[in-house]
Amino acid sequence: VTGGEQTTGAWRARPQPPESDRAAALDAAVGRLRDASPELSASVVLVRWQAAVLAGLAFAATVGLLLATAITATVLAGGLIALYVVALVDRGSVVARSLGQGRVHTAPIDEPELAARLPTYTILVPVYDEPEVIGRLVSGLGALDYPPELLDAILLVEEDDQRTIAALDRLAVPDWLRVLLVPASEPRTKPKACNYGLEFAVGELLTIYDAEDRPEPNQLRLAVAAFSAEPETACVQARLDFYNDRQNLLTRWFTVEYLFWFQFFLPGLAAAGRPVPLGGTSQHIRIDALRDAGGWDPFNVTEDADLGIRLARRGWRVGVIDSATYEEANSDPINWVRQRSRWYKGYLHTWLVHSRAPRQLVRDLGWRGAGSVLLTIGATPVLAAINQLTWMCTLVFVLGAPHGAARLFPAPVFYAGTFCALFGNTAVVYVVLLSVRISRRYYLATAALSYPAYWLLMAVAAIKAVWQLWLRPSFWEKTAHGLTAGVAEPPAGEATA
Amino acid sequence: VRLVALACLLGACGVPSLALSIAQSPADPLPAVAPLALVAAACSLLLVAVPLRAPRVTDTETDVIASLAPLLLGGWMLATAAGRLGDHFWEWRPDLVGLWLCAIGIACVLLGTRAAGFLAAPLAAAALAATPITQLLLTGLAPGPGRAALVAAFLTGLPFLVKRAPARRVRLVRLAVAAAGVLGAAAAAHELGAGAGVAGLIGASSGVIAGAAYAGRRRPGTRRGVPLGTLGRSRVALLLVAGGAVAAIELGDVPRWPIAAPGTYGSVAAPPGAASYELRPGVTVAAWPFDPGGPDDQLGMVVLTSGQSVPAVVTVPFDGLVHWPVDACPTVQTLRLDGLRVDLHLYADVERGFRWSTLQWVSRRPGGGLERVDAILAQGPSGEPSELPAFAPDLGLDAERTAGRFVAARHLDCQLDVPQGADVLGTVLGRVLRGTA
Repeated sequence: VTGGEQTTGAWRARPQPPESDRAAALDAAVGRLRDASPELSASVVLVRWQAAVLAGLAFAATVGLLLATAITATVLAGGLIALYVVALVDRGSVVARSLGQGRVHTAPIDEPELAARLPTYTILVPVYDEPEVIGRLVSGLGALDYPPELLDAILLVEEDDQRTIAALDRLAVPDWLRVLLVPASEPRTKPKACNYGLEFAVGELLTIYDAEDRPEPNQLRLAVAAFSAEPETACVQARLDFYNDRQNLLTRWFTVEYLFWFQFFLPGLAAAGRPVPLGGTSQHIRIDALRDAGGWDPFNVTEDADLGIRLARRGWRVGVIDSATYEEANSDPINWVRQRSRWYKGYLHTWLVHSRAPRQLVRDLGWRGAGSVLLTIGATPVLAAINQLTWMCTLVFVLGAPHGAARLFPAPVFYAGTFCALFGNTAVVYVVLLSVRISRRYYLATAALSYPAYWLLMAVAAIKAVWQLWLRPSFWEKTAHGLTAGVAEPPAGEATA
Repeated sequence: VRLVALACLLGACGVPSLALSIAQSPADPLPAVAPLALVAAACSLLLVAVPLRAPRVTDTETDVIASLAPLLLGGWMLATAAGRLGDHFWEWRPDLVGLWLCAIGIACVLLGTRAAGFLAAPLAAAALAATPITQLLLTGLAPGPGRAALVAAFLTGLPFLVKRAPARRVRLVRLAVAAAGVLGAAAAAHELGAGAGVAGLIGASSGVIAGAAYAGRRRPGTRRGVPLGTLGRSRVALLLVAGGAVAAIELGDVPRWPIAAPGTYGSVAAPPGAASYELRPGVTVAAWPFDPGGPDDQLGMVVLTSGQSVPAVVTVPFDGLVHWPVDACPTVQTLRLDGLRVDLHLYADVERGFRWSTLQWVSRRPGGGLERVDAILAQGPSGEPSELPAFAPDLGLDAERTAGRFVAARHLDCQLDVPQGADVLGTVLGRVLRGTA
């Protein structure tokens, strides 16, 4: 994508849509899914029966712990360990499926027939309070190998985001990039901004990038090829990776996690025909399927994962393409916890939304699909939150041998727990190490071996997520970007792996 | 706000430590408070004075959640784990680890997670350096003030010097220069008659400054000499103060044990023919049997450890001197017998019904130095002869055996009752003193 350079501040010369269209688009962005399918909207955290069940369980556990401590604790510990075992087996099966038959598109993209019928592509780039990275946006998107006349790139800026707007004024925004000012309204979330952009999108296919993203140049063409090869596929997810993976131990852990998630886990889910929780960016979607599904849920802070499940419930398939988008890995622990807590909160919220009508969920996805939603979306944050408690219990048990511990852990529970602690943790470390080996990024081996320390951060984030889901379910915990000072970025479009 | 937080942090460190040390050693509780409180004070003052060079990303919820685990674990260690170690409490000092965790938890809440992370390393190093067993393991010799200072300086300063150096070759040279600076300056100061704490402080400072000066000289374009401006804004300064604070603790000169004044307990002398070993330079141990005067199935043995300082005699693990016939579960209680305070350690073979009660105290020797007396009273199950542990000093495996026994004895019920009344134990105590004085 080249040409069409402008002078600074020229973006203001291109008018915003008429006010009536803006108001209608805003209404649709906020209310489309909530009004059409309220049972799938995250505008409410718990429906009545869910609240009653959770309250009943909490009450039963409290009364049980007071009146019959040993039995209740045994049941709780046994239930938790059972959940660990099932989740472990499930993840193992997905990884095995991925190793045997990972469903990753690597279709040829230069065939003349394909080049002759490239569709119009909409690219949404939502930004909020990110003046420090807005400058990289143009170079990142400008490296894409796609005809500019077929590109409908939209930069979504909140109209009261003065810092970003000021940064835009200092930038030479090219012609192929439209700037849409999103009217200020609640909820202030990325999916609401994307829904707003969707109302003005003109492409056949659509993708989302963050401002600091560096997609590989061939990504759009590869997505087109994947859609051509599989008409029943509504969405393909590109691999996310980091350009600052060597910055510190945290970015290495983060990279190792993404290697596992995007190289093993998502392809395994796709190969098994199970719902795929989409990544935050670089998801390429047929725009008609997206509109049919109701767009993104503006009240859900992991709208991407939610959209993946809704697409699956409507019978669409989700695939994975072998193209990477390079992002900035969160290099600061507190910033990381905030970002991850948002993801976990969204996962929990998404699971609660889709479990409101369990029978319908099973009808839509089958038992395996519904179980996958439970284990992939629901169990991930729950187990991460409980991890801290179980580790502390293990430490106290090993070092302190508190009296009565044997009564709380009868032999079957004890041996299953020991199996989880020893085999499960080792297996996870082995798999992430395998990801490092396959990607040939051996400098990440230390991070893979020390991966359990990363779980401590995850535990903090998960507890924060549960807390926030209770108090501020739709609050968008903003991630600070631009913390990579001193870290060399790759030239736009170049792979760094 | 930070000054208030500093006061809270000091309180959080000091109050539990004070309470615990009063319970363990009413003679002089202050030294147990000193290490973490001093380091926390130094670090917090630096935090107040020098803003952190880090992204200004903060999150109160994260601070609170991050504080939970260290507070709970630290509280548990202070409340429970310390008592489980029995006579090994003074070797391992689990209260320091518990206090470290509590201090980190409090710092998370009051100063933020980032500041707590900043404090974690120097506080941990201070806690470790103040632990006698750490010095014992690292040096192989009896802990002393000079050694404590050196260990503290190494633990706090040198790893960070290595980390901060820009390149591998320079890093190694810098490490060598810093290590030489520490050793040379500390040794020189000690030889010149400076107190051990002062020597340690000088040593730590010298190491840091020597390393920094070398690095500054090697960098092109930088002026010669010590880059004081950079040094003052760096973690090195923080660690320097932390190491110095620990070094200032005079471990050897302050008694931490319920020491009896000469003439109160009386000194215990080994009879002719008692088995005797020199464990370390200046530290000897002897053992001999005695008649406890009770039923025929009771046996007694005295183990006497002599040295020049409290750490010298206290940090000889009792399990390194005698070997129990089985995995014995230890527990400790403090008793007052005839107006005197002694520690009663109980060991038990729960399955077979054997019990060993050990009365322990430290007293000053009339001719100088100190001695630790362990009077063992062995009692078998009713009608069966008792067994005494074997006297076979083997300090080489002290740490491993202690840790191993602690873990291996987990399955035993350690909540033992005092098997004899105070009058019986008082009789035993009297016999030990009369029979050997």
